[in-house]
This record gives sequence, structure tokens and C-alpha cells, in this order.
Amino acid sequence: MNHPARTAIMLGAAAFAGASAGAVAFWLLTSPQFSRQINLGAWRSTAAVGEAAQDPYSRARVAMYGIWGLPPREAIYFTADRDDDGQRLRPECTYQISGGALPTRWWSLTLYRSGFYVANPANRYSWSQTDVAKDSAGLWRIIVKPKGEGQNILTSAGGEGGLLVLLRLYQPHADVIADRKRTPLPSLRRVGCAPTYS
Amino acid sequence: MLALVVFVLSGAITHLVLIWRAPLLATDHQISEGIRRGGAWNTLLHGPPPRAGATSVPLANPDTLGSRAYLDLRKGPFQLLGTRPDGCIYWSASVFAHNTDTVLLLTDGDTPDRQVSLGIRTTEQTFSEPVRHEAVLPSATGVLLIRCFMRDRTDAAYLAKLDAQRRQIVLRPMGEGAP
Repeated sequence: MNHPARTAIMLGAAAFAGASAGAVAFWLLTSPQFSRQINLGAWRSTAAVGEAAQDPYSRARVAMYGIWGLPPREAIYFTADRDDDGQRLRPECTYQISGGALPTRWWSLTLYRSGFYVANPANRYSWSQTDVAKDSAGLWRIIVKPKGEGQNILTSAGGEGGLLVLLRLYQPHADVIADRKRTPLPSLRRVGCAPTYS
Repeated sequence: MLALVVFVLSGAITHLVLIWRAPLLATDHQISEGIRRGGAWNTLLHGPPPRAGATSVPLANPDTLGSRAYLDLRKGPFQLLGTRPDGCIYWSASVFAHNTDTVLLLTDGDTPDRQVSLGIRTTEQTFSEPVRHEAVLPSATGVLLIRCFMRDRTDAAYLAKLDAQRRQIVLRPMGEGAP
């Protein structure tokens, strides 16, 4: 092979390798792990969603993982794909999510698999401040389990992929907007994974 | 040395192009998916209560009775006009630019009398008549999203009333050169 041909191949390879490296860097820097996240036990919250002007990485990240979200003054989102012990949520396990009043106009808690609703006969994908059953003290308990329907139950068996719980606070109180660590977030505890829990 | 320069330049250019293009492509993808599912440009589409398998938007809110319009403002501005429903736990209208930035957010708190008059235009356009609120898009492509949170998504009578109420809001062309 003559010299110009070798040079062209070398430059082509360098261009290809560079483009691949650039694409990998894009994928890494826009993945949820690299966002400006606030970690609060099992829960994580992304700082910049739905702002009028975002930095280019936040914009790309939100476009891919939560397009058309609302800004923090209107909604704050907390996600959990692990339980309180740091174990990844598994569809064959049963979990108890327990909480009380939240500092917001309205809240809802939704279960997803691979980012989408979990199909179930009751078409029940979430519980909210309006329809969750509470005790006399205002405390509530939502059960995530592979199968079964009923009040305060979310089923996880349908679909494929990882589980994610998303807690939405709409028009949260000012102190929570200022500091999300002030949110009294629910606990997310694994009850068990034996077949008897199904 | 030349190979290293080519490597770095190629990587940087690819990276920057992806960062710039990703939000635009995400919007285009959602619009094409929405049109594939029965939507149309410059038409307010009132979606049914969310169901598994019926949405292409990741992490969509299942308590939202949503309406949306894919905006092409090349032929002129539009106006969202009408009376918003009174049965929503929360109501808002958001206008997003092609790059997904939120251009305007109008909520029930901004419209205590329930009357909505939202003009949507590009920076080069003007309205032919006064509007109460306006969204000015930096691009001709945009998305209008109306969120109405349902008190009880299993109450058929309540949903029927809500559905009838939300259809009182219309999206209409306005201004010179409007389609």
C-alpha cells in the first residue's frame, strides 16, 4: 500500500474513532447518572427539568428521559429505582411505600417499567393525594406487588424492564422548591420476594 | 500528530452536534409518533385517559387528561381560546419550543375567571387582535400541551363532564397570513 493511501486510511480511522468517542461521551454525559441530581435516600431528584433556559446537557437529558416536564415552581419530581436499603427494585418482590402529608398542592405516585405504565386489568398506574386511602392520622401506605388489585395497590408484573417509582409534587411549597431535602419523602421498604407475596 | 488532531476534532464535532440535535430530534420523534397515532399539525387533539401501551412519552403522568397540538407557525400565529374546565384538580397550558425549552406556562392560578386567551407566535410575527397571554417561540415548530389532572380517573360521569368542558377550548389561526 502506498503512502497516501495509508495516510487516508489512518485519518479515516482516527475520524471514526473520534466520532465514536464523541458519541460515547454524549451518551455518558446525558445519562441520568450524570445529571445534577439530589440524592435523598432511595429517592433522587433532577435539578433542572422544564426550565425556560437550561444548559445544553440538561436540555438533552430531559429531552430524552422526561420531555416536556414542568419547571420546579410548578412540579418537583422524585424517582426511586432502589429501595431504602439500596437494592434495585425487582418486579417479583413486594414493596411498601409509606408516607404522610406532603408540602404541596397535590401529589401523585406512579409505578413504571422501562419508563412506561405497567399494564394491569384495573388500569391502575398511580395513587394520588386525592384517591389514596389514609388513616386517621393522614398516613398512607401503598403496596407494590407482582399481582393483585385493590385500594392502595400497584402491580408490577406486566411489561418488561426495570421498575421505577415516580413521586410528583405539583405546586410544591416554597421551602421545598428552595431545598428539596426538606421534603418528608415516603419510605420504600422491601417486604419480601417469596412466591407467597404474589 | 495529524491523526490525533482528526480524532479530537471529530470527537468534539460529533459530541456538539449530538448535544444540539438531541432535543430537536426528540421533539420531532414525539410529533411524528403523535401524528402516527391520529394527531395533526395545528389541531388541538384531546387524548383519552392514559392507558398502558397507548403513549410514546416516557414517564407520562397517568392522572393527566391531556390535550396537545403540534404547532407549525410558518403561516401565522395561533390563539388558544375558551373557558377552561372547572373540574380539574390542576390545569395548565404549556408551550414548548422545538428544542424542548418551556416558553410559557399558563396555570389555573393565572386564569381565575377560567377564561383562556393565549396567543402563540414566533419572534417575527404579530397578533391581529389583543390576547391576554402570549407565548413567543424562537422557532416555527412548537408544542402546546394542556394538562388537566383528574380527581378520579375511574369515575365515568366525572370524566365525561370533564371531556365536554375541555372541548370548549379551541386552537384557532389568527393574524395576517394565517392558514
